[in-house]
This record gives sequence, C-alpha cells and structure tokens, in this order.
Amino acid sequence: MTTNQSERAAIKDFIMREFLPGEDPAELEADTPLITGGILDSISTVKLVAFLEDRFGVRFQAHEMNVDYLNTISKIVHTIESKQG
Amino acid sequence: MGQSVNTKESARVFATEERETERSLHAAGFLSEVRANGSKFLAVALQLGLLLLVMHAYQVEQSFGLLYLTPLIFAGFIINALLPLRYRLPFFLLLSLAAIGVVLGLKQGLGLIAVGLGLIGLCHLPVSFKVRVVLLLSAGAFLAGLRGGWIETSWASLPTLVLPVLGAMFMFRLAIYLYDLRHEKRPASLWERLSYFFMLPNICFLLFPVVDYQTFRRTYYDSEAAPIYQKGVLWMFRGVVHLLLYRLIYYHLIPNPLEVASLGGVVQSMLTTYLLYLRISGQFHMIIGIMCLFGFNLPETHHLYFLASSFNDYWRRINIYWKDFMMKLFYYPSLMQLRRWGMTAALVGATLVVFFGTWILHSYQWFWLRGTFPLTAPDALFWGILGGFVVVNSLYEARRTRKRVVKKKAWSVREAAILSLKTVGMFSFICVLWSLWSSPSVAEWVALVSKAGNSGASAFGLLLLALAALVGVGVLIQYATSRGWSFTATGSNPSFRRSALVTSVGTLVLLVGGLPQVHEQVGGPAQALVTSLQQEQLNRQDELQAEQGYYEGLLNVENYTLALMRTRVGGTMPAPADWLGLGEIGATRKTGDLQGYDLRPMLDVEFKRARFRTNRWGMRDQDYEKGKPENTYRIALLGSSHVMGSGVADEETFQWILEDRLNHESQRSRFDAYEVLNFAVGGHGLHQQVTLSEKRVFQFGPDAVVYVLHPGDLDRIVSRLAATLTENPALEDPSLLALLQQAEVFPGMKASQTKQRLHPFRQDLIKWGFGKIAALCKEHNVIPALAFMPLVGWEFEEQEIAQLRELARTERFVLLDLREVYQSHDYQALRVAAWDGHPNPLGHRLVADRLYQELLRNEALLGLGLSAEQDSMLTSP
Repeated sequence: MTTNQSERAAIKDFIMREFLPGEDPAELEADTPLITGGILDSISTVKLVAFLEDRFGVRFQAHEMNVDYLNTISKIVHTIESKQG
Repeated sequence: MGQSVNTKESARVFATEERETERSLHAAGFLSEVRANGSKFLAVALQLGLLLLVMHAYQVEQSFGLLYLTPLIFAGFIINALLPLRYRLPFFLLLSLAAIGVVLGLKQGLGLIAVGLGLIGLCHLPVSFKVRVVLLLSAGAFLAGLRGGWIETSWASLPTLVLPVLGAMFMFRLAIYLYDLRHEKRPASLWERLSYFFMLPNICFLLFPVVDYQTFRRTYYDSEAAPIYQKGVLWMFRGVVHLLLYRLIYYHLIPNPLEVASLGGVVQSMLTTYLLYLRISGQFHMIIGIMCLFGFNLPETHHLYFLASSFNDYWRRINIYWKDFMMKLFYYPSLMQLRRWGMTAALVGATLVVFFGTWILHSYQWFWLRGTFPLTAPDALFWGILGGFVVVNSLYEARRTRKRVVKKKAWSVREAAILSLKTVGMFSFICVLWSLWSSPSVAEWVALVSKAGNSGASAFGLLLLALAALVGVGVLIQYATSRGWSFTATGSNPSFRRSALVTSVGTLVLLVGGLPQVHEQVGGPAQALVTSLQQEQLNRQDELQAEQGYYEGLLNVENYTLALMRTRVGGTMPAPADWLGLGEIGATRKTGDLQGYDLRPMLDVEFKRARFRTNRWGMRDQDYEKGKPENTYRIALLGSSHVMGSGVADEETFQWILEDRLNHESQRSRFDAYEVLNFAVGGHGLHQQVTLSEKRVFQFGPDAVVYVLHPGDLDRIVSRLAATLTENPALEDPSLLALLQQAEVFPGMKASQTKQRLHPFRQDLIKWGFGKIAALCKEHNVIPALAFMPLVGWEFEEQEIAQLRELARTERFVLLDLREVYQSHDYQALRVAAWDGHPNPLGHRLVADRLYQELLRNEALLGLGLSAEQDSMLTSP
C-alpha cells in the first residue's frame, strides 16, 4: 500500500465510522462529494479537520474549510499532501 | 502559524480543472451546441417566453422593475447562448450594466456604476491588505453618512435611490470578495470580477442572496449548457409559484391583528406570518433562475425549509447562501481561533458569534435598504432564541453522530413517526418564533398570544388533534415515498424532459387561467381570486399602515427616507426624492391640542409638484372674509388629503371646481353666491375634524358642513387618534375622556398599544365624533352632511357602508353618495402618480361633477336654493 493509498483508507475509514455508520463502504468512493453531497456539514467538517490534523500532523486554516479542499477524499488527500510538502 | 496548501501545487490542480472546464465549454461552442442541442435551446427559449408572458399577466414583482427587464432577459438569453464562450461573460456584464440604466435612469445608473467601480478599485490598490481594508471601511463610512442623512448632498436621489441599490450589491459581496481575494489561487478575469458585483437581477431585487464569489466562479458553465438553462427556467417558474402563493396568503388569508380574538385567530396569524416568507424564497428562486440562464449554475438558495426537523436542519435549509456566508466569514475563523480552549467551547463560541453577527448584519442590511439601523427587542429575542437552540443542537450533534445515508434506507414506522413529529414540532415552533420576530414589539406579540386565552379547552384539543393529524400525514407520505411515489413535480434532480414538461404545463395553466375570457366564464369567487392574484398591491391593513407612515412623515422630516424606502421595498412604485410630505416642506405647524397640527396660513409653495397656497385662515383655498357675505350660501368641507387636493394645483381641487360650478350654473338660485370653504388637512382623522369644528368652522357661518369619508375610515379613525395621543395633547372633551378611560388608553401611551385597545371601541368613537359634529351643527342651525367618497382603486365594502350609514342616520346627516364616481374609469388614469394614489385633476373633476349632482339631488334637504321652484321645499335641519 502506497502512502497515498493508506491516507485514502484512513480518511475513508474515519468518514465511514463517524458519519456513515452502517453504510456500505463501497458507496463511498474517492470522488463522492462530501460537502455538496450532504455527508459533511459544518460540525462534521470540524470533526474531520480535527482528525486530519491529528492523524497527519498538518494544520488547516479557516479559509480551507470548504469544497475546494475537502469535498472529496481525493481532494482531501491532495490537500494533505500539499501541506506536507 | 498554520500550513496552507502548497500554492504551486494548487495552481497545477486548478489549471488542470480549468482546462477540463474549458474543454467542456468549447465542446459546447455555438455550432456544436446548435447541432447537438438545438431542440433543447429552442425548448428553453419557448418556456422562457411563456414564463415571461405569465410574469406580465400577473405583474410579478412589477414594483421592483422586474417587468422592465423581461425583454433584456429574453433577448439576452438568446444572444448569450449563441455567442462564443469567451464573449459570454463580457456580454453578461454589459447586459447587467444596461439593466441598471433601464431601471434607475442614466444619471443614477452611471453614478451607481462609478461608485461601485471605485469600491472595487480600492480592493486592488497596490498597498497592504490592512490599508485596503481601512480605505474600504472609510469609503463605507462616508457612503453610510450619505445614506443616513448625516452628510448632506445636493444630489437628492443619491441617498434614497442609488445608495440602497449600491448597498444591495456591495454590502456583503465586498466582504466576501476581499476575503477571497486574499486567498485567491486562480486569478479571475476582469469580467468575472465586475459581473460578480453587477449581477443582472440585482437591480430589481434589493434583497439579494449573498452569492459566494468562489461559487460564482466555480459554477460558471461547470456542466453542459442546456441543462443549466433548463434549471434556470424551472427555478424561475418555481419563483413565480412562490410569489403567487405569497399573494394568496397576503391578500386573502392573513388576519388583521386587531381583529384576532381566539386561538384560531392566533394560529392563523402565526401561520400566515411565517408563510409570507414565500416572497423571499420566490424572489431568490427567480434570481438564481435568471443567473442560470446566463450559465451561472448556482446552487439552490432554500431547500424545503418548511420541512426542517431540527434547529440545525432549519438553519441549513433556509437561506443557505446566508448560512454559507456566515460560516465562511465568521464561524470557521472564530472556531479556529477558539479551539485552543477545547472543541465544546469553540463550537459554542463560534455559533454565538454567528448568531450575534446575523442579528447585527440584518440591521446593517436594513440600514442600506431602508435608511435606519433598528435594534429591536423582537429582533434580539428571535436571533438569541434561535442561536441558543442551534448551540444546544450543535453540541448534541457533536456528541452523537448525525446519521447520513448515501443510499435510501428501508422504511420504518418508528423512524418515520419520529421524523414527522420533529418536523411538525419544528414548523410549529418556528411559526411562533417568527410571529415574535415580525411583531413591532414584544408587548404587541404578548397581546396577540394572550388572545388564545379567550378560547376554551376544546379549541386547544382541536389544535392538538390537527397537529397529530399532520404527523400522521407525514408518516403516510414517507411510506408512499418508500414505495416509489413522488410528491414533487420535478424531484431534486429532474431530467431535462421532465423539467421542461412541468415548466411548460405550469406556465400554460397560469397563462390560460389568467386570461379574462377564461376566468370571467367561471365567475364568482374564483374570478375574484384570480383577478386579485394578477395585481400587485398592498392588502387593506398595509394600505392603512402605509398611509399611517406617510402621515407620520407629515410632521417628521427624518421619517421621509424611511417612508420612501418602505414604499420601495414594500411593493409599490418608488416615489421620487422630491415627493415630500406636508410636514417635510414645512407646510404644517403643531397646535398642541387634539387637532395635532394644521396648515400654516399664507403659504405659496410647491407640494408634490403642484402649486399649493393657503389663505390667511390656513385653508387650502382662496381668501374669504370670516363673516359670511349677504345672501351667500356657505359649505364647510371637512376631510383629509383627498379633499385638500394632494398632488393637484389649487384650482384643480374638486372643492374649487364645485364652487365655480355652483356660481356659474345656478342662474335661478335664490342666493347671490356660493362659497365652498376647504377646511381639509392631509392626514386629519375624525377627532381632528371634531376639534376643528369646535374651534374654527362655525366662526365662518356655514349653512352646511360636509364631512367627506373614505373606505377604511373606520380603522383610520383609530390609528390617527392613536398617533395624536402619542403627542400627549390637552384633552378637554369629557365624553372622549370617558371613552378613552373605558378603553384603558392614556395620553402618551405607545401608538401601537393605543391602537390595540381602541380597536374594539371603533363604533363608539365614530358615534362620539358624528354626535359632536351633529350637535355643533344643530347648535349653529347648520345642516350636517356626509359624503362617501371612494379612494382611487379602493371602493367601500357593503358592510362598512352599512355601518357608516346607520350611524349617520342616527345623527340625521344628509348622505351624499359618491361611491360610483371612479367606477367606469381606469384607476391608473386617475392617480396623481404611479407611486401616489391620490386623485389627479381628472379624478377631482369627476368628484366635483358627482358631488354637484348629489347636491342637486339633496337640494331640498340642504336648502341650497339652486332652483326657484324648489324654494318652497326648503327644510330646516
């Protein structure tokens, strides 16, 4: 498993566990819209960001809490990778 | 310092995304689009044409100037769709700027654009971000000074017309723009930047959804064009439906708060007050629909907000753009700052910041649109209570995960019942809270709610039963939905065909149903209902309130801007800046007694663009001696602005014409001359006519006193007396004092409270007033008469006229019936101006003719002596 894949898996696991308990993991794909699709609201976005900061040792800024950075698992991975340099 | 996303990397991603967008856009270039989607464009154009016809037939938001824009929208849509992509944004901008000129006029339009460009320019000055913020705040403060009237300007329409529109365009968007500019990853084109501020529909809709700058850019032709256009017409159609439903409620279902007397009335009042929000959602659907026609694939602004099942759900569904704006500029920045104190404290703190900000920003918005900065107790309570519940709800959600689903869940009675119960409970709670927010004061809201106490336990039981039935209906709907039924015409993501079908059928039904040939066939209440829905007007309560606001403005210069913008925002044509009240041009003076104010003597001024003179006695009339000349018949005319002649020149008033006619056409009269003395003063009510009669009228020796009454006077008598009593006048009349005591009304009390308390005593007040005038007439051997004169576009109701007649007969008034005076004429042709319903010169001529006929008809009773043959029939009062 590459770093990228392990990041994806960890993020997906967190989202499934926290926001979609009991749902079929196959329904959540890398490009499933999280914010515009109604899976993440403000509170869950905050929870997700707290998790990402803890798990990956990065720090988010207020203006990054939106669809441009967090709308899909792919975007989240990309955001984290670019923060990690 | 937090890490932000690597800029280089971001630029790469966005460049890729942009290329993808470009590809899809170019794939959708003109020729290929015509080849691939020609029939779809034609279908959208056809639906749009039909929809615009419906909007004209039903005068949809006519007072906001929307109908001026329909040709621009239709032609603009066609041209925009046919243009190559790179020309579309510049075209949209030009169209939007042209719309500003069409609606505001060239001078005001250019002024608005110039100030707007200046503000955008400040955002881009090559100085530090902080300096730009300071400069923008300074510019904002200067404009606010102009808007609030603290800084004077010789350009009269700048603060009252240009700045409200400028405010609507810039008051929130400038903040978002500046915020995004700071974090901008992909530079925007000039067209994008300017189009964001001067969006086409904004010129008509001052209350505008707070469109996010990033969303505005991101969604521009972000998918195939034809479905975006189709979404646009569908949403515009939804907007029309919301706006017509709003009219239905506003004209026919909302009760007069003063007449609410039981639990049923309280429930009806609360429910309909909340449902009036349909106007906002209707306007927002219309706005986003128009934007979609030009390729801005913006998301929905409201999502089934009547079906919210929790406080957070409600906050997320109603005015979604506002919620997003507050999240972006207040919630996340506060939360990130506060989270060092723990997540719970951060959530509570950030949510409170959002609701406090929402409260203040609503007043800030009110300031730009209407010129005052209200901070009222109902406002504070509404946002405080809602914010408090959202905090609790957020903490609950933060601890217990709110379940989301990506696939439909299996049906469960228990879950359906819980959801239904929560939805009905939430709806009921918001109805109550909304009625508090909409009340002028907490005391008035408490007075309204306390009316429910007049009902027995059975009424409360019935209400609970109705709510339980609603819960049951909710469960049934969920069950049916789980079995594949759909209760919406289009669903959340309709196909092009289904959307087009719904829009076409809906617009055709409205269009055909609105044809006079069709609804005249139906006749009866249905015809009256359709006719009312086709007109944009104020309902009866608001007509009275608008007049009240106007009359309050007579004595209070500061109220003018408020009154003007109330007119602008409230739904009638905007009055120009020089359309001032009597008080504002200094034509009135306070009297200190129950009359309140009168006209200054020897005036020669311009009032509503007409010459306005008063004689040495303060009458809007030519000069008369106080003593009546030998062998002269004098009529004293009492009334308000319609009799005084608001908006017409001195010699155009019906009083002037009538006097001329009496003197020229009565060759065989037994009198040498007739004089009609105009004692009318704009804004005067019955108590003022009584005071005027006691103090002045009979000094002039009239033979007859004619008091002119209008539709709505039964209510107006109460509101005007309430307004006078706030001035704490000297009260001398024992019978009036007794009446006020009985109603528990005291001088100096708030007008709204006085109105509430006096309302049940309306008939007694009229009896008192009519009795006083009749007694004074009897004492001076004068004939009392009442003239029933309609307002332009507002006829007497049968019940109202029956009540007035009954009271008048008791006091032996001669009745002069002018009710049909305007009936065979187009009301619009009789108004002094589109924004002012007083009769114009033609209207006054009609009234003079009709009054002359009525005087002839009642000649014997009045002792006019107009024909020698009738001398023998003269009777004493």
